[in-house]
Amino acid sequence: MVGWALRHGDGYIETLVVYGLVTNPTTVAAELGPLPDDMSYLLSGRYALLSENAPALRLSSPGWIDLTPEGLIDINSTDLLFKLTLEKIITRISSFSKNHRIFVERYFDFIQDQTKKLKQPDQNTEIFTRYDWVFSAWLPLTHARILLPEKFKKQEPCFAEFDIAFWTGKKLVCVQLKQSDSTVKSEREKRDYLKNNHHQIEIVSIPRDRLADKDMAFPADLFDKAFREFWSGLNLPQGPSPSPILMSPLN
Amino acid sequence: MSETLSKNMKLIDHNTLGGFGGVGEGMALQVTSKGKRVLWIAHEGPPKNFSGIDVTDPKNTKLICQTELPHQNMRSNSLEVTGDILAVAYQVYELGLEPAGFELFDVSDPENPKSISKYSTAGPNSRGAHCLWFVDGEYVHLASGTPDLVPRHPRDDQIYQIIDVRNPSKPVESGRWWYPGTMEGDDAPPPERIIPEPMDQLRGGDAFRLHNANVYPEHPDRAYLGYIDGGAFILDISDKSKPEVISHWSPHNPYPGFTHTVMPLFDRGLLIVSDECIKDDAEDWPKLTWVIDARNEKNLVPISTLPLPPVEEFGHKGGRFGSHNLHENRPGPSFRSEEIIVGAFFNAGIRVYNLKNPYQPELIAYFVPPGPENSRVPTIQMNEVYVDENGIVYAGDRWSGGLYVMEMDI
Repeated sequence: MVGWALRHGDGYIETLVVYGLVTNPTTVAAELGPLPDDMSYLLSGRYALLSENAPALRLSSPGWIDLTPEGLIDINSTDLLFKLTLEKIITRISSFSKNHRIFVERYFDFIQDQTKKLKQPDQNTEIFTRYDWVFSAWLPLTHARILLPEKFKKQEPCFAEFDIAFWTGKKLVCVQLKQSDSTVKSEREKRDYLKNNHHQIEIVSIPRDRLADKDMAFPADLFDKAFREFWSGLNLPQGPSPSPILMSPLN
Repeated sequence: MSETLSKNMKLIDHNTLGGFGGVGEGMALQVTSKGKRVLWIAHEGPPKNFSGIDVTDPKNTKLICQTELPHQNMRSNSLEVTGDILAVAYQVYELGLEPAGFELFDVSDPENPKSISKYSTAGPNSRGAHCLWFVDGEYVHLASGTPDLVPRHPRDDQIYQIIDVRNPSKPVESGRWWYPGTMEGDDAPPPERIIPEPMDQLRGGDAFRLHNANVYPEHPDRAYLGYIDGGAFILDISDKSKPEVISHWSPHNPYPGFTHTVMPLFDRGLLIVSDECIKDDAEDWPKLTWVIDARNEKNLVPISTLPLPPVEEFGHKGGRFGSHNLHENRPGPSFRSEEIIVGAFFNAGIRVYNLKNPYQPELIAYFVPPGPENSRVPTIQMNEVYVDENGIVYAGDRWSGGLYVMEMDI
């Protein structure tokens, strides 16, 4: 477990979030070394490795989604691309996690609605619409498992678990969907450790009844303005990153 | 006597219940208006009716109440408490005896329970109530015989009955349901027996009768039934006068019968279904606890079982070995988890599973104390388990060991 030991020091120089349908996050952590000197983050379909100053992880961030040419061939609208993005996120949710799915679906409804608050660009001068900003929304990292430093427990790598995490560039927003459940001591200790030692973490607890009612909307009031206005600071919208093969120069 | 086996659990108190340590299938926790925490315990058999244990300090539990049955030819195997009302099931050993059914008690003064009412299910073909569920203060969900029905097979007598106790002094039946074909006059043919047994024993297996009915306030339109050899049922009880079957799943046969508890994990679309071991020395092994994919509640699919220790290690140590009662995630001062499952497994003790990956349940803790003194078998026979909201585990031995109080370190 050399990689595990290398990655952590005081102050959380790097944060590893293993996410999605990973049965054993330790195996993912074991495959990783520290961030290369010229990179502030790494993002894949299974993990995000973040430096303190890593840029926000958005739906448009490259690395998490693999849009193949075949997959893109029928995508001829922002709406279809948005739906495809949602589908890709859903595939990273356990079949036995109904609340995760409800949360993510409502989150997608929410970010779609948020774009309606934006001023419609002048279609004579701009090639995008306000709806295109949806891909600037924060990327939900489902079933997030955050590696704790070696000093938490030396015997084996330990992960604090949260239902969903978002990296906004300034904060690691960790969402708990089931706080009314009884929590076992070991899980509580890990979360508390992270809360007390990671200076960028923010924990948001979603009451059970905010998800149980099928008519309820995304619990936006539990998130701060910076989270809700995800487009702030960006000049232009960008769609999800296509496969590297599409980005490579033609011979 | 044998040594204690444990992992991530430790005993913090042991209470032999004044020498009457045979614990039935009922444990429920009351928190009084004065903050006293009282664990109510049903007894496996006579002479005691029920016991109240002050567990305010779980490391120093005290017997504060123990009541007597009206006669020795009956038992009160099951109980539940909601608020200050305790419901106690009465089952008799011979058809036609009384009291059969259940009794409600006011336990606002836990040291002096006062009877509120009795609901009788006595009759010529009834031995009363084996089990009840009462968690909402409004309805008792009962596994009992009836005064009127005539079972085609004497062991198929206990059916599902919904009793309205919103006026606790006057309980009234709201609805009932039974396995089609088990009662005289049914259109359906009698069910094929799984493992036919002699007819002279009323207790035991070879039965198409109800054991547990679980109904949760967050989904009051669903009842989850363990119907012994009939398997597991989900009923739509949105109209309590006309319960309707939504789905049915049974591993019997080839598995050896006795579906006991059907516990839903609503947020995950899973059911935990236990089959009770009812014979000593692994004669009916394997008695498993199943994990069922119930995302489509009309199509129940088994996906795993909770791993048990080797039968060659536990099967012949004495007494029963296999699944039985689960901590049922009931509302109230109760541990409620969709990932941690706690069960009583007779001589394999109390076992705790992590169900994070439902395809591969993982044993994360267990506690198997030595066989208690004066037991009819040499091993512990963990019969019932209840976990409070603080993760304190209360478990009872079937024959003599009484109450074991444990902490989990998970």
